[in-house]
Amino acid sequence: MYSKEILDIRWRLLVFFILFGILLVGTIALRPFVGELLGISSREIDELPEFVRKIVGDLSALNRLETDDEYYLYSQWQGKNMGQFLPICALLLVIPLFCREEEKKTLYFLLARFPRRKIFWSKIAASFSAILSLLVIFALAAPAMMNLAGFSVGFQNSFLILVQQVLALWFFFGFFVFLSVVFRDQLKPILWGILFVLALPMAGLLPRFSWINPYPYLCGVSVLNTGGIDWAYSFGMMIIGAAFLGIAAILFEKKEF
Amino acid sequence: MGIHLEKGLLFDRVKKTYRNGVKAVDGLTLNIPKGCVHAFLGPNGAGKTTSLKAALGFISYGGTVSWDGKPVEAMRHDIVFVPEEKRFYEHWTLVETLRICSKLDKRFSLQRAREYFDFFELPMKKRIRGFSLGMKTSLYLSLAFSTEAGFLILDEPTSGLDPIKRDDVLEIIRRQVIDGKTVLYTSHIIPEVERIADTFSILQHGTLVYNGTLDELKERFRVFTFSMEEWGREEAPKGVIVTEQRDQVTVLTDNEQAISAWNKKKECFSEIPTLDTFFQLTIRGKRYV
Repeated sequence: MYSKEILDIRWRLLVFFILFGILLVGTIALRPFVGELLGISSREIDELPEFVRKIVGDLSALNRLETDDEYYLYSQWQGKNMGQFLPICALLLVIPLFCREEEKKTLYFLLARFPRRKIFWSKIAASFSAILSLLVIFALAAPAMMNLAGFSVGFQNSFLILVQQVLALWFFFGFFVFLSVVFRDQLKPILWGILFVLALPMAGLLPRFSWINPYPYLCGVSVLNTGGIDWAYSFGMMIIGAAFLGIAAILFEKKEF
Repeated sequence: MGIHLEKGLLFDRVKKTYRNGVKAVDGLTLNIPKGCVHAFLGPNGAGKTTSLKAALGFISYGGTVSWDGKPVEAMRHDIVFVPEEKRFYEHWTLVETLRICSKLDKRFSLQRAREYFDFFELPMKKRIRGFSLGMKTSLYLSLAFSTEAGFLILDEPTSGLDPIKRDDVLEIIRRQVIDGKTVLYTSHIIPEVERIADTFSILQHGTLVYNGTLDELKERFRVFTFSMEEWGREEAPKGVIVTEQRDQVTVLTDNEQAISAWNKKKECFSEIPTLDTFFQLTIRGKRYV
């Protein structure tokens, strides 16, 4: 059953691999030009009104970006190009898992043959292992390729950010599985999923609710600032992701088809 | 009290009401013995597919369904199902279908599936999304017939097939029973049922209105045709089913007294019902109770 699920997601997975590959090569290739690019940006930012500069944040980070290869890689790759796209990849990979089979009526083929529990966990195992592979390969390939390209970058922070990203992925994955089980067509869960991905950082703009925004955690901000994993947030991500998945499993067990 | 037979498929007081209040199945009690072809007949919305879904555990329901005395989850390894909408994984080819199905299901015979694909002349390298309705039906049936299981549940198994393929499929279904399997299937095509079903049941508005064999039906029931005027002089006995068409009244009955009395009358015409007549009268007729 695992291989059937992998076969179902293989093309999407391949597209993500190609896309991430292009983005990674692009990120590394742009490294020598970052100083030039940031010079322009810094000047432009200085000319901006005060409230806009507040939104832009700490300008010293821009200087660090210019001088620190490691910081450049973590912030621009795990923190930006890969990190920010990760929830979208999860959404596109996970949402069709159940609702597409229900919408297309192919689920009957499985339901008649296997216990629901087996169907559910096989789909979960296949899709999570697929997206986890994508994440691990590209998280660790980035410092390796930077070193090959002649820059000096260690692996330690990459690994720490990776741990946070795996847990953040687990959180998004759990929610998307829940949506996929709840709905009977593909459009509604995709729209709800996009809304979820966009709403969390927007809600996080409110000072009291800044913790709702999981992107600083997903992008490894705490690792870069403190040099360690944010364990409290990690625990929260793990529990909430597991809760969504558990609820989805119960719903799937009880659902009428 | 429900039936307490242990072998075969048993529906015991099965009820299903959907959230919108529609009573799809209302107290269905029915035993389908092992080793036969049993046909579910009924108009659209009679509860045939819902009954199958209940039996397969796809929906929640009241009452019980047991397979050889066991719940469906304990017997899933012995069941194969062909749904009403034969939609398979459209992005697969048959080569991929064979590869995946043989990994997916231990009961699946690769050799037999290849033979069925050849038999139905299905293209191996074409994506399933390019298949016609008949080809999709042939594919689903090929997979079902290539899977070793004691019970075959087929929801309109001949939909979309041309008359030649339909004949072939009916022959294959018949052969399943010779091999000791039990087939439960639904159909709208009465001559098909007449041809291959050992037993059949008619559902209407979620309730069972008849269950038995064709021979029993022909032995027990008679159809009488009266003129409107003649029927006006009759007093309809209990249990008859009556339809009025233009100036004629057709009466279906198993009331022995009525059959005996009307057989002696020259003013009415008597005949043994065909399954089609029986079905039409049962569904369309007004029942005197």
